[in-house]
Amino acid sequence: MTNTRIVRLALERFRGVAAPLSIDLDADVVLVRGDNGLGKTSIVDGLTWLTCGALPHLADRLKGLRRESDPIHNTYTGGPAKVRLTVVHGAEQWEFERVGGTNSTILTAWCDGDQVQSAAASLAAVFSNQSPDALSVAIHRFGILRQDAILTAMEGGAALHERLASVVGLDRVTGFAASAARVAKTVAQERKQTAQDLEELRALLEDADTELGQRVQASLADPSGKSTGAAAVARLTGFLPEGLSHAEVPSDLDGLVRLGRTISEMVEAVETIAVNRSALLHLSASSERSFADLETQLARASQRAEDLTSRLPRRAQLASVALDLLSDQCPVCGQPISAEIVRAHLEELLADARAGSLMAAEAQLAVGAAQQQLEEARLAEGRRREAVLRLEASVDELRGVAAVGGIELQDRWLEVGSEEHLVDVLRDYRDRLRELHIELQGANQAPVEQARTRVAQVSAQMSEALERLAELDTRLAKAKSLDRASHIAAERIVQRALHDLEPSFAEVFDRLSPHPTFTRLRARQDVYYGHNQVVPEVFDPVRRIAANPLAVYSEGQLNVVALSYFLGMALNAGEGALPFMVLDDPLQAMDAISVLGFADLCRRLREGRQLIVTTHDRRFADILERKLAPREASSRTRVVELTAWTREGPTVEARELGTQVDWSIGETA
Amino acid sequence: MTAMMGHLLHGFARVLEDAGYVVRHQVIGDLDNVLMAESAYAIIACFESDTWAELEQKCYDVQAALTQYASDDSGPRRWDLYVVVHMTEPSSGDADDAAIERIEADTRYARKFVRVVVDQEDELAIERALRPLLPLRPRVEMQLVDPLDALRSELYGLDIEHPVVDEALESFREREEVVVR
Repeated sequence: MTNTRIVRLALERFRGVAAPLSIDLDADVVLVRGDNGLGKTSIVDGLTWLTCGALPHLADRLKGLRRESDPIHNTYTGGPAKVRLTVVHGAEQWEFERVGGTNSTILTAWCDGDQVQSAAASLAAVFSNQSPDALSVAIHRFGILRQDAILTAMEGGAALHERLASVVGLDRVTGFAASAARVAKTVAQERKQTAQDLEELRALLEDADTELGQRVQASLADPSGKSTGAAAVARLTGFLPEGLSHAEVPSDLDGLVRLGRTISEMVEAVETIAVNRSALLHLSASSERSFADLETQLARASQRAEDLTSRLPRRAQLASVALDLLSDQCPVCGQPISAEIVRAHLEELLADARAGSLMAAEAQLAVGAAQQQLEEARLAEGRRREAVLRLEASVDELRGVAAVGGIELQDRWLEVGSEEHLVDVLRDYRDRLRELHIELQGANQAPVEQARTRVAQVSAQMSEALERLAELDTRLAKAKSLDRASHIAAERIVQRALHDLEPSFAEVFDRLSPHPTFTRLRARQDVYYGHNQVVPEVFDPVRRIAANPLAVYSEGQLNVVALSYFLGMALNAGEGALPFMVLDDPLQAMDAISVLGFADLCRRLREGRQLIVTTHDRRFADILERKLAPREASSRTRVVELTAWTREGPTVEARELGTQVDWSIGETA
Repeated sequence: MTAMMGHLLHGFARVLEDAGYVVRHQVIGDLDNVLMAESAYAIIACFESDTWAELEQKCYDVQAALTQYASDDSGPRRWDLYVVVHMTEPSSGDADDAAIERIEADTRYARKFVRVVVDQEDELAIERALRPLLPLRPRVEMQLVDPLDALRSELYGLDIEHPVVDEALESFREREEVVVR
C-alpha cells in the first residue's frame, strides 16, 4: 500500500450527485465500472474539483453559452456543491472539504480531526506539491487523465509542447522563450506607436510652421490693424527721397530687417565715398596748381646753371694765363703796354669769374630744389590717381550694396557734394524703417511669439521622439535577436529532452503495440509559424519511414498514442509527482489486443501509486477485475460498480476483491 | 541476416529472470528448447522458429502445451498465458506479415507475440521484444540541473550578445519576466 492514498470520496449536490454519496476508495487499485450516464464522470470531476477548485473542461464546454444555472451544482437540488476527500498520509488522516460553485468555493481541512489553517497549502503538501497552483498543474497534466483532453493536446502541437516541457522541467525554458517573444512584441508595438507619434508630430510641426508663417505675414500685412498691406508698402516707399526707390518691397519682418541692413551698408559706402572724394579734391588742387610751374622753373634753373657753368671756366682760365704772361710788351705784337693797367683788368676779370662761379653754384642749387619739388609733385599725382581709383571703387561698392539690397539709386546722388545729403537721407530712412519694424513687431508680437513657442515645443517633442525611436530600434533589434535565439535554444533543449523521454513513451507504447508496422513512438520538435510544437511521430523500423499518427492511425490506435504520451510523462513526473493516478474511461475504441495490453500495463502502474480506473466497457472491466485482483497479501483491489442512476444520483455497489495467492511455480508441471 | 537458433532464448531467460520470473527450459513436442517463465501474474512460453511455413502450427502446439500446463494451476494466473515466438528468418512479404497478424489477433487461451529477427547482442532489442511482460523501468533521469543554465549555454552558442542574454536571464530568474534594455 502506498504511503499516501485516497481512502474516501463523498459528494453532495455536485454535478450528477444530488443526495449524499460516499465511496470507499481505500485500495491500491480501484476499478469504477458502470455504463455511460451512471455517474463515473461525476466521481472523477469531484476529485478534480476538490483538488483544483475548478473544472476548466466544463467551463470550456459551456463557453459562449448563456449560463442558466451553475454547472457545478446538481440540477435538481441546486447548490452549494460539497465534495469531501479523506486521505491517509503516513500516520495522519486528512479530511478536505470544498463547498461552493463555479464562482467561489471554500476549502476546509482537518488533520486527525483537528481543523487546520491554510487548507489549500495543506492539500498541496499532502499530495507532494509546493503550492495549490502547482498541484492544479500536476492534477491536470499527469494526475487525472481525461482521454479527450490528451487527444486534444496531441492535436494541438503547442499544447503538447507545453505539457511535455512542464513534465521534463523545461517549462522555465519555454516560459523564457515565451516571455522573450512577448518582449519583442511589446517593443515592436512601442516602436510602431512611437513612429506613429513621430509622424503626427511631423504633421503638427508642419502645421505650426505654416501657422507661424501666416502670423508673420499677417503681422506685416496688417500691423496693429491700423493699415493694410498696400498702405504699409506705401508708407515704406513714401519714406524714400527722390532718386531712390525699391526694386522690391519687403514682405515680412525679416525682409524689413534685411532692408535696414542694406541701408546701413549704403550709409557706410556713401561715407567712404565722401572721404575718398575729399581726399581726391585735396590732392587734385595741390597738383594742378604747381606741377607745370615746377617743370618750367626747373627748365629755367637748369638753363641758367648751365650757362653760368659753361662760361666761367674759360674766362677765368684766360685771365689767369694772361697774368702769368704779363710784361711790358704785348706778347702778340710786341708793342709796349701798361702792365699795371692790364693786370688790374685781368684781376678784375678773375674776380668776376669767381663771382660768376658762385652764381653758377647757386643756380645748381636752384636746379636741385626745382627737381625735388617736381618729384614731390609727381608723387602727389600718383596719390591723386590712387584716390580716383578708391573713389570709383567706393562708388561701385555703393551701387553694388544698393543693387543687392533692392534699392535703385539714381546717378545724381553720386554727384560731387551730394554725399552728405545722401547720408542724411539714408539715415533718416533707416530710422523710419526701424520705427516701422518696431511698430509691426510690437503690433503682432503675441500671436507670432505663441506660434514660435509652439514650433519650438513641437520641435523639442520631435527630438525626444526621434531619440526614443532610435533607442527602441536598438532595443527591438536586441529583443528580436533574443526572441529568435531563445526559440532555437528552447527547441534544441526540448528536442534533447524529447529524445531522453522516448524510452518512457516506448514503455507504454511497446506494451500496447497498436500497429503492425509503425511500431515505434517518439516525438519531434517543430517550429511552425514561430511557435514551438511537439509533433507526434510513429516509425516503421523495417522500412525506416516516419509518419504522424494523426494521419496514419485509427481512432483506437490514436488512443494508444495518447495514453503512451500521458502515462510516459506521468511516469517521469519527478517533482510534483502525485501518489495517485486516475484514468477516466481510457479505452476508447481500442481493439481486444490493446485492451489486454492495457490491462497488463495497469498491473504495472499500480506499483508505486494508487490507481483509479473508470470504464464503461464491461469486457474490459471483467478483464481488469481479473488482472488487477491482488496476488499478494499486502495488495488491495476494490470494485465500485455503478448500477443505476436516479434523480438522487448514482446507485453504487462496492466490493473488495479477494487476494488470490494460491499458486506455486512449477507445482503444476 | 539469419540469427543463430536458440541463442536468443538465453537472452530472453536472462531478462525475464531479472524481472522476477522463474525460468526453465523444457521440451514440448518437436520443440526441444522452449523457455518457460512464471511469476505470480503470468506463465510464459518462449521458443524460436526458422521456418515461416510452420510458424502457426508451432505456435498452436506450444499454446496447447502451455494451456495444458496451466490447467493444472489452481490460481488465476492460468488465465494469464503468453507465448513469445522469435522468428530467426525475416518476413518474406505480405503472407508472413499476415500470419503474424493472425497469430497475434487470436487471443484465445494465450496472448501471443511474434518477434522477428531480434538482435541477440542488443540488450535493448531483447527488452523491447519482451516489454509487455516486464515491470516498468525506473524513471528517466534528466541531465538538466538548472534549465536556465542550460538555456544560457545554448544562447551563448548562438548569434546574440552575451550581456543581452545575461540581463534577460537574470530578470527572468528574479521576476519571471524577460527584460531587454
